[in-house]
Parts: sequence; structure tokens; C-alpha cells
Amino acid sequence: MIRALLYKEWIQHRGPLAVLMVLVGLGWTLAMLPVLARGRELVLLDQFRNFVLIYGILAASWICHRLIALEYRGRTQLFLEGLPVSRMVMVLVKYGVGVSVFLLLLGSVTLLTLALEAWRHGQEPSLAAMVALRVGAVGWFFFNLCFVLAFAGRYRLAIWIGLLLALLAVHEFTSLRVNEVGPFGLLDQRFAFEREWPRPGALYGTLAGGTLCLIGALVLGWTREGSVAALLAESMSHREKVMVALVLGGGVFAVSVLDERRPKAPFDLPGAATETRPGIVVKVPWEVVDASQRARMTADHLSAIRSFLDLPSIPPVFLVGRSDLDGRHYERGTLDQAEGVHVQANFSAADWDEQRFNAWLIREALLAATRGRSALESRRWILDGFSVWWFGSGRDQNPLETDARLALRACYGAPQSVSRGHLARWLQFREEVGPDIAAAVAWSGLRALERRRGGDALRQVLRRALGVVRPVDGRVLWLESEGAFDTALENAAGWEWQAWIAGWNEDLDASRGRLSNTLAAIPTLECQVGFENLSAESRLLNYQVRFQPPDSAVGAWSFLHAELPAVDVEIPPQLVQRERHGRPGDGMESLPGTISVGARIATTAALEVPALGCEVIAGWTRHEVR
Amino acid sequence: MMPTAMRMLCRKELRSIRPFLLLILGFGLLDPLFVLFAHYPDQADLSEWLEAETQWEAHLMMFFFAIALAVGLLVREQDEGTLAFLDALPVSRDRVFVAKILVASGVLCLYPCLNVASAAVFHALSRTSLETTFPWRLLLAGGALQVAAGFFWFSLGLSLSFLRRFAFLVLALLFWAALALEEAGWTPIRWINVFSLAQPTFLGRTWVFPREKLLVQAAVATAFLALAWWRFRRLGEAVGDGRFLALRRRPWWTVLIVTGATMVTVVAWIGLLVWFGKDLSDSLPGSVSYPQWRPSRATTERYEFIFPEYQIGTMAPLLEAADGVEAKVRGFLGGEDSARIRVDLTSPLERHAGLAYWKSVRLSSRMQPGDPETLAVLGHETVHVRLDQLSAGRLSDVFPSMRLFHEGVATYVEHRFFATNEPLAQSRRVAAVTRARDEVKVEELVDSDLLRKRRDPDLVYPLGEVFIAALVTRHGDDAPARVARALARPSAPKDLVGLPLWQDAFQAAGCSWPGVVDEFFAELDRLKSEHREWVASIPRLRGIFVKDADRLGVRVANPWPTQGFVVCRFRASPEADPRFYESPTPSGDTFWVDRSNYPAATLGFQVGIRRFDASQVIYEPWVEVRL
Repeated sequence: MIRALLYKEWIQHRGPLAVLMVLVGLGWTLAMLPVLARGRELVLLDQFRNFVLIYGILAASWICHRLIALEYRGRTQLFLEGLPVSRMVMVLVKYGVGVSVFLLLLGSVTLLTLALEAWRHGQEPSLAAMVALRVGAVGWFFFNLCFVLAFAGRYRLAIWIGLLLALLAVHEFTSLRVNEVGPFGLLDQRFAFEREWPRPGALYGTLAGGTLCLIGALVLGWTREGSVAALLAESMSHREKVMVALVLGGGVFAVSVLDERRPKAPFDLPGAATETRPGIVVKVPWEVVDASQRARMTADHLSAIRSFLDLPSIPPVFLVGRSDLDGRHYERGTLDQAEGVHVQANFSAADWDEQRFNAWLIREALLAATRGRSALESRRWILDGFSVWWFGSGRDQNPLETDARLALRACYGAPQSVSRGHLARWLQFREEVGPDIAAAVAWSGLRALERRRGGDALRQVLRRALGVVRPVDGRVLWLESEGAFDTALENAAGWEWQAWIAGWNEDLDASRGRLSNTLAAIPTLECQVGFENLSAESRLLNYQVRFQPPDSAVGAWSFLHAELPAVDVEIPPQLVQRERHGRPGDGMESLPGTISVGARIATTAALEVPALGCEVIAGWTRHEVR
Repeated sequence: MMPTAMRMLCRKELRSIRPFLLLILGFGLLDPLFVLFAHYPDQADLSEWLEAETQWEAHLMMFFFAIALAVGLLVREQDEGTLAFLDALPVSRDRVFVAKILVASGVLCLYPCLNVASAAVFHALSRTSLETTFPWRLLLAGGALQVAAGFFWFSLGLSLSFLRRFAFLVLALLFWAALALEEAGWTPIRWINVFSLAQPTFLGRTWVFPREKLLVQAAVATAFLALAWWRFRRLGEAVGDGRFLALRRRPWWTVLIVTGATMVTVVAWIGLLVWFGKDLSDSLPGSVSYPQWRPSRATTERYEFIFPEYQIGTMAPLLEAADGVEAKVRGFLGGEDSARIRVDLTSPLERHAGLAYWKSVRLSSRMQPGDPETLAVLGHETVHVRLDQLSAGRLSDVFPSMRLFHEGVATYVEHRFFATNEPLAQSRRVAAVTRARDEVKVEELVDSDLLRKRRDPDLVYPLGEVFIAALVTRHGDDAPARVARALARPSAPKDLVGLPLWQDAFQAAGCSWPGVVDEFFAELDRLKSEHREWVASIPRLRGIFVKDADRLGVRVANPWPTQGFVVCRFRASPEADPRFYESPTPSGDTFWVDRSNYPAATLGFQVGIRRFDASQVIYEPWVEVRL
């Protein structure tokens, strides 16, 4: 009866199998031709590896489809089950036919490839044996896999996709390197060049996997008298297709979410001066002057801040030197798939300002530690003020003028009273007065809180605002509310908003009075911009800057402009361009070049004021060129 | 109001493609769910949605939905045997077709609607006070482009659907054909590259629509739709229509075609995945990238400086001193006021501190604007600019002959007005040792190509400085300017090069060429005497050519000097550009290069000594060897 079954399979499938052989041969020829065309430069076995992985799986899949899937879908297996043979024998006969044909096919192309390679490059017989063993084991595994999936009927494509996704997920999320185990370990990139017998782990893994697949196929073919396989062989309805697609899509979604939420590996800078504290790592390359001292100093600052704000940790900080920056420009890099704060600065610049840099650095470190939450507009003023407050010398009840420069900046930036509106639209306020002035205004607000409610109250408020790390998902919308600072102020400082604002303005008024003479000498800027038609599509930007009082501007002033992106966000410093002018003039100046109609540009004027130690600006204005 | 029959048809179609509706809704909700599960929803403004990568993903989803929906929409009626029932209804095939298209298009449009809606919601949560108006136009533009792309793919899918299982094969082949045409440079193919719609271009807050491209694609899509309509009207008319493609039992030769087609389809799509996959992000995990800074501008009376914005803090000393530099140069060379000289400090020049072109100068961005050396280089390059102006560009036209003059004047002015004594002494030591070796040949100095072939082209700096010093000594400070102007005189012969050119220019300038040359050599001899001991400390190096199977090398025969470093450079031929000289580090006492870099029959090498008290490497003459 077995012979009859074999004969039946032969009659039924001889034509299509012959066609398959022709096609595989054709595929092999097409795959090898490019290698042969390049003479001895390339190795055939390298391309043969790709051929086995693609055509091998295709051929095995097709053979199993004909032997199993078509049989069960057409329900012709019912006739076979009517014969005096067990279902197991029937399945085993099919398996035997399929695996024989497949291994014969694979063996033929393998022999052909080895012979050709021996003729081109010459090789030892042992290498041929190694290659044959690898290809044979992998081929047997893939055939068994296709055999068991053939019993899965209409779900086999979905299972294939699911398997691929699962392998990717395992490779990404675990330490298991999928390309080094099982059949992928046997057919890895060293396949064409390795002169050693396959690693036992990979070989036994492949054989074990193949055995499991075969057992699975037998179980599927035998369970419930084969009715499971018969049911699975029916065609998918539209609903099922959609369901499968949704399940696969959901799987991809879940893996994507897990991947996104997975903590990134920290960036590393090997061979650098390193300082560690609890929750802090600072690295400075040895090329930076006084690298170890800088690392130690920075680690001390960050450690103190971490304790003060009760943060669990701050991402690793890397301070890299860049000699062409001036002393007041620093930049933070974007790390790809890694965690950390990577910054570049010129620590040896003649105009280096250590305090200014440290204030900038802790702002960047806190941004990273809070995953950007501290940069939300509702609490941005706190971040700006804190980074300045931390390095200020005034504490507790000391008047604002203890930090004379900061007090001057604050009074300059808030010539009238500060209101809640300033804090609510803080980014706008920042663009009106400039980041250094805005930070000083924010600092004065924190000082007002400290002066009236004490350092502990301020600390509690700051912890709530800057020291809480929220989970990265939609829960943040419920966990945080607009009035978080309100709540912190009331609970931690026992103070209401209005009272705090009133106290803040009181402090500023007092300082304004005491600094009035100095303030009067600091110029304010007014910048007028106009667009002159050059053509239907081109405009020339003209600008004129006036200073009040007129003779207060000493030294060079600049016209700043930046092309704006489509979405209104903060203007990054890297987009700002400057037209520096040697001395104030009354005339109209023009930008070089033209601007297209429809473009968006932000403009302002800036003047360095020695008394303030920073630039004052006329206020950024955003224009849409018409 | 839709007629009853149409309404019923539409309802029937909606019922039949309900699974797709669920699919599109499901996938359309995955993106906002992803944000809710893995990001802060109030930090998800439009910036990321407007990026090309995000738009590309949305277009890819539209592609999948459109093709999946299209391939079964029309032919299913025949394959499932319901065509006859439809024909029996009192509605024409055209109405059936319209109903199908309307309903399917509506379902397809759900995805862009969900995409736009979720982007709008998250942007609304993330808005700041900087944004005065909600960017509705941007959102609608993005959604419209997704719809346009979906319409194209849907139409294509409909027209291919009649091929049944071969539809995916033909689709893959169409993609490969389009890729091949684009690689071959056939630009019209770009007009129907639908995926290019995912590449946003903005002008201000306006999403610039590729109008012509959209019109072409709409026309092509309409043609596909018309083809599908025509085919649908004839569906079931021909005997065996679709049977060949739909029947399970087929003649044996069809097995060959079907099996082959299946294999080719799979291989073709895998190939497409690999092709497009290789263009995905190339960044290495753990790499760090920094944004580029924009250039800024500062003007003085005489200069216009272009520099990176991040150097504004250090520009002040350069800006304050710049006009003084130009004044000194103009004071020495004369000349009228002219337009500002543009000075570009944005490029890191690899081999030079500065370069001059007509009215502009480039200084290496590695130079510190505040350094005195930068002023010296600015002065040097300004001299080049002024000389070109004085000679009306003639000096540049005959540069190979006059390079000694150009660099000599610039170096002389640099050392005289801007540099300290030490750089001048270092330069003059090089001149002294060159004279001591009897390597100062006038015919080489007036032909920089010859100088480059035989010795070191950079000898024009130290020797040129001495030459111009001799010229000035003999004929006064204004002599260099007179020589430059002489070249620009209308009566100057146009075809002179080399020595005749020099003689003519000197004569016209009222200078004695032989006299200056005598003064030049006298000065060199004086320097040779002054730096006798130093010259004696510089050994004559001898290089021995060696080779092995893969490498060519030069072994220095002498004991290595105690002061300075021995260097060696190689060139493929005497005509080779100095940019392509190879200067390896030594391995022991031998300098090696890869043989494959020198395929010609000869190779040149030049050994030299680098001393810190010399302005440049002191080279031996080039040696040519036969390989």
C-alpha cells in the first residue's frame, strides 16, 4: 500500500515537480551569473547562501503546498483516509516524497556549486563536506518548517509573518543573536569562508528545530482524525483576513511600543576622564584642558542638583571640546538610540564664562532628566529661573541686588509689573526680551518665593516642578494639570498665586527704585522692518534700528534674523543669522539677498550691554512675507 | 438625493467591504494609540508629523490599503459567482461600478482622515503661545496628498485586478521598471513617482503642492480607472473570461506559468523590500549628530566678513583690526578705494590658512579670529586681492609664471607689517638652506610648474619674500605696485610667459631685472652666511627605494637627525597635483605606500626634514624611479 501511495504521489506531482526543478535551476543560474561574470573576484558560495535562503524556502514551501495544502483544501485526503493505511503512514509517505525531492534538488545545486567553485578557486574535499552538511541541515530544517506550516492551511502566511516578527523582536529585546543560532548560524556571513566544521550548538539547534517541526506536523495531521488540518485548509473569509491583519498589526504595534519604551543604552565615551556619583556620570575626553577637574566639578554640581530636586538620576553627561566655538556658544548633540547629554563647548575660549555655561548645562541636564517635561511652556520659566538661581549668590532674605547683575536684568526685562499672563505665555515673553533677561525675571520670581517663605518652601516647590519624572505615555495628561505650580505653591509654601505675584512685584519695584540710575542708562531697542517689492515673487528686507535714549548705544549692534519652519516653535540658536554693524546709525539697512513671497522670517535687533553682561533685544517679530 | 437603487448598491458594497473598513479603522487608530502608549501626547506637535519619514509611512499604508481593497473589488463578483445576480438587478454595470468606486474611495479616505485628525488633536495639546493660528492648511494639505496618492494606487490596483494572481507580479515588475528607468536617468518617470508626494516642501506655513505632478498622476490614475471600468463592463462576456486565471484545474503548461509567476512575484517583492530598505536610516546606533549653524555677517569699512554665528564672540578683535590691515596693504601697494573685500571664514581649508580669489578671501574656519596670526593671514590674502586689482587680473592669468611675485609680495607684506620677527627668521632660514644647496634656479622660480616638478612649490614663499625684499631695497617700496600695474598696461604683450614676462614687466615698471636678481642672490648669500650653523645642522637626506610584493617604500639611508622629523612624500607622476601626494608615516626607517595606488611605470618620492624653527619642510629634490 505504501508503494501505491508513492506511485499516486508520483503521478499526481511529477509534472509540477519537474517544473519546479526547471525553475530552481533557472533561479540558480540567474543568481550565479553575476558572480561568474566578475571572474575570480567573488566567491560563488557567498551568493549560494542567499540562493538557499530565498529559493530553498520557496521551493520547500511550494512542495509542501502541493503535497499537503492542496490535498486538504480539495478534500481529496478523504479518499486516502478511506484506504487501508493509517493516517500517520499517509502523512509520512507525503513527507518522505517531499523531503526526498527537496533534498535531491538542493543537493544537486549544492554539488553543482561546489564543483564550479572547485574549478574556479580550488578547494579541499573537507570544505565540500562542511558546506554540504550545513546546507543539508538547513534545508532539512526549512522543509520541516514548511511541512508543519502547510498543515496550518490558510494561516500559514500569517504564521510566516508572525515568525519573522517574533524573530526580530527576540533579536532586538533579548541578548539572543538570532543570526548566530540555529539555521541562521549555519548559514551566516562566514558560510562561504569558514574552514571549520559547524558549531555543535548551531547544528544541534537546527536538527532539534527540524525534529520539533516534524513532530508538530505529525500531530496536526493526526489530531482528531485529521479534521484539524482539514478545517485549517479551508480558504480564509474576508473577516478572517482582516482579523489576521489586525492581529499582526497589533503585534507590530506592541513590539513598537515596547521598543520605544525600552530604556536606551547609555552613550559611552571611552578613554575619558570619568566622575561618578549616585545617579550621575560625567565624562570629559582627556584632550579637554583640565579634563579631570572639569569632570569632577560638573559631577559635583549635578549631584548637588539631583539631591536638591530629589531626582532619581540624571542621564550621563559628556563634555567635549570644540575649539572653533566662541566662549558663549555651546551646543548639544542628538544621540541616536542612546541616552545621555552630549555637549560641545570651547572650554579654553578667551571669553569663556564658566557660570553661564554651567547654567546652560544644568538646564540641558534637567531637560534630559525630565524627558523634556521641564521645557513645557507652563513650567519653562521655572527651569530658566532655577538654572540661574542655582549659581546665584543671593539666598534667603537677601535683597535681589545681592546679585546685582541679575537684579538689573530682571528689572530691565520687567519694566512694569509681572503677571500670571507672562508665565502662561512664557515662550512669547522669552522672545520679547531674550533668554538671558527672561531667565533673570524668572529668577526674581523664585527669589521672591525664597525671601518670603524660605529656602525649604522653595525647594519643595522646585521639586514638584522639576524633580518629578512622569511615565512616558498618555497618563501624563491626568497626572499633571495646568495648575501644578498652583498646587505646589499652596501645599509646599502655603501661599496663593496672587500673594506670590504681589510679593514678586514688590521686590522688583524695590529693586527698580534702587537701580533706577543704572537702568536709565541701559538702552532699549526698536526695530522696524519693511519689505520692498523687487518682483512678483521676491522681496528685499529693509530694517532700521533706533535706540532709546539715542546716545545710549555704545559699540556694535546686530540685526538678527532666522528663517522659520512651517510650525511655530522656539527659534533654535543654530538658525539665527546675524548682520553685525560697527556702530549705531540712523539709516535704513538691507539684508543681502532676497526673500520669496510666502516665506516666514523672524527678526530682531540686539545690542551687547556690558552692565547687564548680555545682549538686549528689540523683541523677535515673526513675519510672513506677502 | 441618491436614487434608491444607488443607495441600495452603496449599502450592499459597504456591507461587503466592512472588513476593510475595520482594517483601516484599526490601523488608523494604531498611530494615535502609539503616541498615547509611548510618548507624551502634549509634546507631539506637528513638527514630527510633517517630516518626510512620517509622511512616507502614511503613504505606504495608503498604498497597502488601496491595493488590498482594489484587487478584489471588481473581480470578486465573477469569482464568487455573484455577477449574474448583479446583472439581473435593474441597474447597469456602470452604476454598479460607480457605487463600488464611491464606497471604496470613501472607506479608503478614512485613513487620511484619522491620520490628520489624530495629528490635529496632538498638536492642539502641544501648542504654545508662539503659535497664533492653528495650522489647518498644513494638516489638510498633508491629508489631501495622502488621498491623491491613495486614488492613484486604487486606480492602478483596479486595472490590475483582472489579472487575478498575476496582479502582484505585474505590480512588482512595474516598480522594477520604474526604478530601472529612474536609475537610467529617464526623468519623465519622476512625474508618476507617487511616493515623492510624501516628500514635503514648505514655503513659510504653506505646503507647496507639486501641481504639475499631481495633474499628471491624476491623469494617469484616471486612465487606469477608465481601463478598469471598460474591463468591468465586459466582465464575464468572453468565454473562459478569467477562467484561465481563476480555475484550479489547468493544463500542465499553465502549472509552469503559474508556479514560475509565483516564484518571480515573491522574489521581486523581496527584492523591492531590500532595495527600499537600504535607503532607511544609515546612522549607527550610539552616534551623535549636531545641527549646522547658519552663517552671520559683519561689515567694516573695507571688509565684509562671513563667519559661523558661533564665532561672533571672538570676532571683535579681528573686526576692530581688519580695516587697519587693509590700510597698511593699501598704503604699501597704493590703489584706489574699491568695494569691500569679502572674507569667508566658514570653510575648514585643509591645506591652506587662506586663499584669495579676485575680490574675496577665504580664511580657514580653524583660525581663531582673535589670534595675531589670523591678522597676518588676512594681510597676506588682502595683498593677493590688491595685486589682482592693480594688474587688472593679469597676474592671475599668468599665475604659473608670476607665482613667485604674487606669493613673494604677500609674504613680504605679511612679515613686514603683521608678523613678529620669529616667523620671518624661520622663513629666511629655509631660503638660506635652499641657497646653500644651490637649489635656487631662476628658471624654476619663474615657472611654478617646473618648480613643482623638481622641488617644492612652496619655496615661492621664503624665496619670494627675499626676492621682493631685494626689489624693494633696490627700487623702493612702490616697486612691487609698479610691476603689478605694468602688467595691466594696454600695450603689454599678451603672450609672454616665464622670464620674458618678468623682464618686460620690470622694464615697464622702471626696474632693473638683472639688478634685482643680483640683489636677490646677494641677499641669499648673506642669509646663508648668517645662518651658517643652522644650515650645517640640516643633513642631506638620501632615500633608497625598496619594494615588496604589495608595497613600495623609501628607506632613509642617513642616521635620523636628532632635531626635527624626517618626512617623505610620494607622487604618481611629475604632473600630479600636490593634493594627491601621499605622505605616509614611517614604519621604522622606511616609508611605505600601497603598490596598487601607483599603476604607472614610474613613481616619484621626496624626502625632507620638518624642523620647528623652519617655516616649512626642507625637502630634497624629487627622485623618479622606474617600477
